[in-house]
Amino acid sequence: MNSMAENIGLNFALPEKAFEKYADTVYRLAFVRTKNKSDSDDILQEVFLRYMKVWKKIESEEHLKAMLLRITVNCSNSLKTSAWFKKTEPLDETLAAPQNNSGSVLAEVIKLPLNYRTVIHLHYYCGYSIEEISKITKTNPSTVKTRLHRARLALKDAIKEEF
Amino acid sequence: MFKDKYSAEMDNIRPDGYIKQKVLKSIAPKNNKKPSKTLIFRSAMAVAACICLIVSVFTIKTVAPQMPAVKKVMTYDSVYKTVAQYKTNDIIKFFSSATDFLTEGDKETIVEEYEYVTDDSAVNNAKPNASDGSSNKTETSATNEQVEGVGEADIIKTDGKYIYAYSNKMNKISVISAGKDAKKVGEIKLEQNEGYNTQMYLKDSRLAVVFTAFEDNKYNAHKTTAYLYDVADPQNPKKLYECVQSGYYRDSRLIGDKLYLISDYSVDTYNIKRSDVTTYVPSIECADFFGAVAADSISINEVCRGPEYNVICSYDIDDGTLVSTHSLLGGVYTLYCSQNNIITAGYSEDGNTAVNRYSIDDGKITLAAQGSIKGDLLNQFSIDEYNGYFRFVTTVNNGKETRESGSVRYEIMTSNSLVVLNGDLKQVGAVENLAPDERVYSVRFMGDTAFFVTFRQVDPLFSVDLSEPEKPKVIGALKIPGFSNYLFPYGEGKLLGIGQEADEYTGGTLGLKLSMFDISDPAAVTEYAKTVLKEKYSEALANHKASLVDVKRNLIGFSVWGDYGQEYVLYSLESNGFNKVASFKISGEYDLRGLYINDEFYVIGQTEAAVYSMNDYRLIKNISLE
Repeated sequence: MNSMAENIGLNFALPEKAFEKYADTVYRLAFVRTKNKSDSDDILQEVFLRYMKVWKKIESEEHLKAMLLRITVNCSNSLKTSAWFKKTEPLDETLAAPQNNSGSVLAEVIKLPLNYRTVIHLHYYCGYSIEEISKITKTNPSTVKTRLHRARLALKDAIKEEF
Repeated sequence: MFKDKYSAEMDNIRPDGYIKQKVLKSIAPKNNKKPSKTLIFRSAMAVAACICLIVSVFTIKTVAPQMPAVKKVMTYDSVYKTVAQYKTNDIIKFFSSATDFLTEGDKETIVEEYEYVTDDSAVNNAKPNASDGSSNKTETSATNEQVEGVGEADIIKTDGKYIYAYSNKMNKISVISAGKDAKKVGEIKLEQNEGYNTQMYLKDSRLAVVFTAFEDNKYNAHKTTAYLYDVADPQNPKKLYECVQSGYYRDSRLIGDKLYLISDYSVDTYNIKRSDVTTYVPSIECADFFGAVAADSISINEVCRGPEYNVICSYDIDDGTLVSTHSLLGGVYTLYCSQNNIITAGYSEDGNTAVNRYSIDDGKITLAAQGSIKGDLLNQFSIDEYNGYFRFVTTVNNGKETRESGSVRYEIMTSNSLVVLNGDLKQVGAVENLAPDERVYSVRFMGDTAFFVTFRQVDPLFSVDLSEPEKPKVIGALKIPGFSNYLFPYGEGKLLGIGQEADEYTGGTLGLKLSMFDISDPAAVTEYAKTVLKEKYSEALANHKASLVDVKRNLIGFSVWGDYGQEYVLYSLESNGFNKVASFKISGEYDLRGLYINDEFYVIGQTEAAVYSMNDYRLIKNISLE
């Protein structure tokens, strides 16, 4: 059976190709959400294993990236409920964070609550609009807007940078 | 600009090369065939297992799962043989766990979509709690312990005069004098490689601090440690004894002056040596014992999943001596302790739960019985002892795997049961197939009645009559939206539920919920008071010791995650429902705990504590713990 992707010749959605292109993107969102390297490694693998089940439905490059980020959000949520997570203790989070804290904006972003740092990352790093973020995180656009606003407020206190 | 700086720093974050290689391998098309070979192998094993099972059903004619074969060990050599066999089995085990992992993923996409799904069995520390031996003059908040007379460890302990508070952030214990002029009077510092998952006990002038300690750069060098301090002079605590045993700290209990310390020790199968007993047998160091445990204190559970010991030791907290020890080769995932028995529950290879009963008599630990029950237990509240019977509430998963064109679908079909076992852990009664498709969220046994909550979209609170252990009967089921993560008795005929409100149609969670159930007639339970908070998460959802439940003063307290960090809230139960008494904010603090001593209420965070008057809940003073 020919998949939609194969039919219209969009082989960019092949898992290996997608991995080559977006492994770093996925990993970075995972890192922002879990705050540590080893969980991010696990999520990276999990995301692409799950992606393998859906890749044939991918319609466009943009859809592909958003889908991967959506799965990443899901995976890092369900990581908390997995047996492994329940039965182990996470490593000290400060170990994974950048060591030179002076002037590091990433270190400040990571201190924000999970929802806040997720929207900050998706907006400022991935360049998504509020509407798009609301689709990726499956939250109301107005919620995203509020989170973004509050996250900025919190960040403004910590770093004297322009937004 | 923030954006540029952030992007520049973010660009440096990337997966390590070997991780990329590993993931790429796992998704590359040609590698897909390999696991399927093991799948066939596994299904062959499954068929074999089925045949065995059918035979056993016909011959023994019982529905209860088979007894796990546990044997007592007499020599180290037989332990070595068992451990060594995992060396070769590891490879098969790796593959089976790898495929479990795949199906696990499918399962989770179906069910878990909430932002803050609670972590029911968090092994974490903490509770707002009073002393185990408080004097009559001072009144302090009562412990949120499961069984009366069985002390549970906590990050905060008080004797009514001093408060001992462990801060994870600073890795030290602060000693705070109680009263209106409360201040920090002393501290106990822990080393950098110590203090992991720290909890404490306070009994008279003895402070026991239990935690996991690490040795750097060494695999499997985790030691469960108890330091015993003399705190007769709280300003200068003196360390008297160290009790150390192999493995991660799992749990502990204090009964009288005997400390039961339970750890999980996995053997590093690649480095075992027949000549060196300590490479494959747990060891202990304390005041009067040093070295590997005796061979006759080890049992082997032959259906266990891996070379992991469950090590139970009892120590005398007065002189740091070892009273008794028992190790079971075969892991454990939850345990319950009454005054006379410890019940441990572990996974067994056939998917059931293997249960073990140890009788404990003033420190003496004897493995008294083994049994097996169907399904998984939620946490320590899923187990109870009453009048010589042991009761368990389990969630049984009858899930099915279907494979079509290379993809695996996993259907979850859960149901819930209540099982009654006798002292030999043989099943005497059961109610099964309750609430299909749901799973247990909280359990509380109260004498002849059991209450438990299952959940998928609406929350049935079941009440089960256990007055005839052979014939347990469901006598009530109250359906309400949301669920409770913990159930606590709240005075005569009342049961308090702390949990989350959920949408009736989607099952999505909406916020924290307090429920008060009227259980004076277990057959007609009603929810007569309820309040929903706007905050969504609290540690009280994951740790029963994180909430303060005090009937005497009518106080329910716990910390919640607000928009900007944690705050501590206090509720009381009035005739018209729950009433928010106070909410305390300490900026930048987390892991908040609350307790009261006489007329003052204390909220203790990681680096700061605050004292409030209990008359008007005004701030009296802040105390820095740094």
